[in-house]
Amino acid sequence: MKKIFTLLFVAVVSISMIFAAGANETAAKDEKVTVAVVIPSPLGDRSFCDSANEGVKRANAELNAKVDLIETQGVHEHENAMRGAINKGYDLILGVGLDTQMMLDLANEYPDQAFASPSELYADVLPDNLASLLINVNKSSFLAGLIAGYMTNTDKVGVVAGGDAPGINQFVYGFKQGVLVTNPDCKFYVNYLGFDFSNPTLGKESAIALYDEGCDIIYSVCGLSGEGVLAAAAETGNYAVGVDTVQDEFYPGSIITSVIKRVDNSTYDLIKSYVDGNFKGGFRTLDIEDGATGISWDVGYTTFKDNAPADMAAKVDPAAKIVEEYKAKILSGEYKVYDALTEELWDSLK
Amino acid sequence: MKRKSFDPMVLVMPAVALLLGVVVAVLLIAITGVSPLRSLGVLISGGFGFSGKVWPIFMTLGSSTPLILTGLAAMLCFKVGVFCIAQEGQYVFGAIVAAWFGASLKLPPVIAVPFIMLASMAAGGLYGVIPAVLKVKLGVNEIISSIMLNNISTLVLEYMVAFPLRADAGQKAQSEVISKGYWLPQFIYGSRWGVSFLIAIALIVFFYFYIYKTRWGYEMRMVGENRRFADYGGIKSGNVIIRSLVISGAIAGLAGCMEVLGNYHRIMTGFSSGLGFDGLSVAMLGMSNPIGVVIVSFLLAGIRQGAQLGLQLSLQIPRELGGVLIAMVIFFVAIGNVYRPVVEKAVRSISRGRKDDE
Repeated sequence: MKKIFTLLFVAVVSISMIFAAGANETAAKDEKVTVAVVIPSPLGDRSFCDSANEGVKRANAELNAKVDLIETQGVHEHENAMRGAINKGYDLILGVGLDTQMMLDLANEYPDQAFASPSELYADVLPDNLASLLINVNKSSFLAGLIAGYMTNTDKVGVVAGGDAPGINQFVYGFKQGVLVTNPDCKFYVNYLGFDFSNPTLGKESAIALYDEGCDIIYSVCGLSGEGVLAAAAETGNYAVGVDTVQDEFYPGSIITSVIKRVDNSTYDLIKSYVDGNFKGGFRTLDIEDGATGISWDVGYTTFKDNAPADMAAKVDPAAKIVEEYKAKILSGEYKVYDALTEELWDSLK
Repeated sequence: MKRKSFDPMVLVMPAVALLLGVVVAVLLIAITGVSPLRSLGVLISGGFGFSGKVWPIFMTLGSSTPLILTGLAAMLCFKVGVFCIAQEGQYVFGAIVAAWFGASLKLPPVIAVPFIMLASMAAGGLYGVIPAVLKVKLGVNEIISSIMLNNISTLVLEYMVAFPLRADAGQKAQSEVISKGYWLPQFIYGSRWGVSFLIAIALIVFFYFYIYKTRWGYEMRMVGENRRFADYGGIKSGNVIIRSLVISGAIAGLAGCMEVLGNYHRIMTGFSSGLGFDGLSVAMLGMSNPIGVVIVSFLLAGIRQGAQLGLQLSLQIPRELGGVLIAMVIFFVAIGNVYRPVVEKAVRSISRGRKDDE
C-alpha cells in the first residue's frame, strides 16, 4: 500500500510541475522586444544558417531586443517550431528560408502576430503582418560566373545546386549567364541535390562526379552540403566558388571567390525595423547596390590571389577588371541579368 | 493454454527506460549550467503542458498519430518474426498516392476521402508484398531488401515532386495543395490533432483483437514464436508472413495518407524525415504490444516536442542536447535486458504487496 502512495506522490509532483513551469514562463517576460528566429537546419553550415545567426548575435548586442534562435531539421519540424514560437508569445517571429505556404497560412491564422522572412518568399501578395526581404543574388552570381568563365582551363564549368527551384536557380542561371559571356563555348553542368542542404558527403560525391567529367570550376549553392563541394575542389586540385558567406579561407587557393548573400544583414534589418516601430508587411528587395550581396573580392578578400598557383593567380586581376566593367553596366541598367524568380527561362540560357 | 490477463511489464519497461534516459540526459544538460529541475520542468511543460494558444499536449497528440500507425505497422512485422523496415517507404508511397489523388480527384469528399485512404493502403500494401515475397519464396534477408526499398521510395518521392506532381511556384519542390474538401478536420486548429488520431486508435483496438483473439492472429504469433513449429502444426507460415507484411504495409501507407490529408495537404522533398524508422523504435519500445505502441508514441512525441523545441525556446539549450535526450531514451530501451531483472523484481514485489493489502 505504501508503494502505491509513493507512486501517487510522484504523479502529483510531476503534474504540478507541468503547471508550475507553465506559470514561470509567462512571468519571465521583461521590457525588451522578444524575437524568435527559426532556421531551417542546425547551425554549423558555415553558410546560410550561420549567416542568419550572425544577424541574431548582432541584434542581441546592439538592439533593445532579446532574440532567440531556434534550430530545426527537416520540413516536419519547421511548422512545429513556428507554432511553438507563436505559443510562447514572441513579439516578432522570423522564419529563415522556410516554406512560403506555411508562412502565409500561419500569418493568416494569427493576424495579430508579426512574422517576417529575411530571405525570399514566393507569393504575389503578403498579408500586413508578414514582411519579406528578398536578396537578389542573380547579379552577384553573374559576376562570379564571369570570373569562372574567364578562368576555366578546361572550358567546362559546373554547379552543385541544392534543388531545382526558383530561389536556387537564381544563383544557377545568373552564374551560367556570366560564364557564357566570358566563354561562349564553355560547357555548363548542373547537379541538383534534391533539396538536401545538409549533406556534405552527397555534395562531395556530386562535385567529384563533375570534376571527373572535366570541370575545373564548380559553384557550390547548397548550404552545408557545399562543404563537401569545397573539400572536393581542394582534394582534386580543382577550384570552386563559395556561397552565402565568405568561404574563401576554408581551403585557401582552391576557392576562387564567394558569392555573398548577407542574410545576417537582412535578419538584423528586419529585427531593427520592428524594434524601431517601422515594421511593415510586404516585400522589400535588396540587391548589389544595397550591399546585401556581392562577391568576396569586393570586400577586400585576396585569399585566392595570395595562395593560388601562379597561372591562376595571374588571371585574378584581368578577371576583376571584367567584373568591374559589367558591374558598372548592370548598375546603370545597361546590361540585364536573368532573374529566375520573376522570368521564364531565356532561350540563350537553356 | 491459459493466457495471463495483462503483463504489467509492457507498461513498466518503457516507462523505466524513458525515465532513465531523461534523468541521464538532464544531468548532461546540467553540465551546461542549467538547473536539472528547470530543464525537466520545461521538458514536461513543453511536451505535455496546458498553456499557450495551442496547448503543447495537443500538439503532442497530433504528432503521435503517425508514430502510432508506423509503430503498429512495425509491430505487425515483429509479431511474425520478420524485421522488416520498409515502413518508411510504404509511408512515402501512401503519401504520394494521397497527394496525387487529393489534387486531381473531382469527387464529393464522402466518396473521395475513403477512396484516397484505400488507394494509399493499397500502395503501401503492394510495397509490402515485395520484401515479403522475396523473404518467403527466395529467402532474401528482409532487412536488406526493405532498406533498399526505402531508398527507392525516397528517390521516387523526389522525382514525383520535382516533375509530375510539381506545383509551379515555391522555393521547395512540392506538389499542389489538395482540395480543401478532402482535408481531415483537426480538433484544435494548428495542433495537428484530429480525426486521423481517432482512426489510429480504432486501428489499434482492432489489431489488439486481431492479434490476440482471432485465428489469424494466433497464426501470426505462432509463426513469430517458432516458424518451424508452426509449419509442423499445419500453419502455412509463408502465407502468414506475406499476409502480415501486406497488412503492415497498408497501415504504414495509411499513415502517409493521413499525414497528407490531415496535416501537410501536399508533399514535398524531405517530407519523409524518418517517421517510418521512428515506428521501429516505437514498436521495440512498446514491446510489440498495441497498447504499448500507443503509450510509447505519445511519450516519444512529447519528449521530442519538449526536448527539441521546448528546451530551445525556453532555456536556449541547443537542439543537439535535445537530440541526446531522445538518443538516451532509445539507448536505455536497447539495453533493457541489462536492468530488466531488477525492474521485474520490483514490479513483482509491488503487485504482491497489493495482493496482501486486499
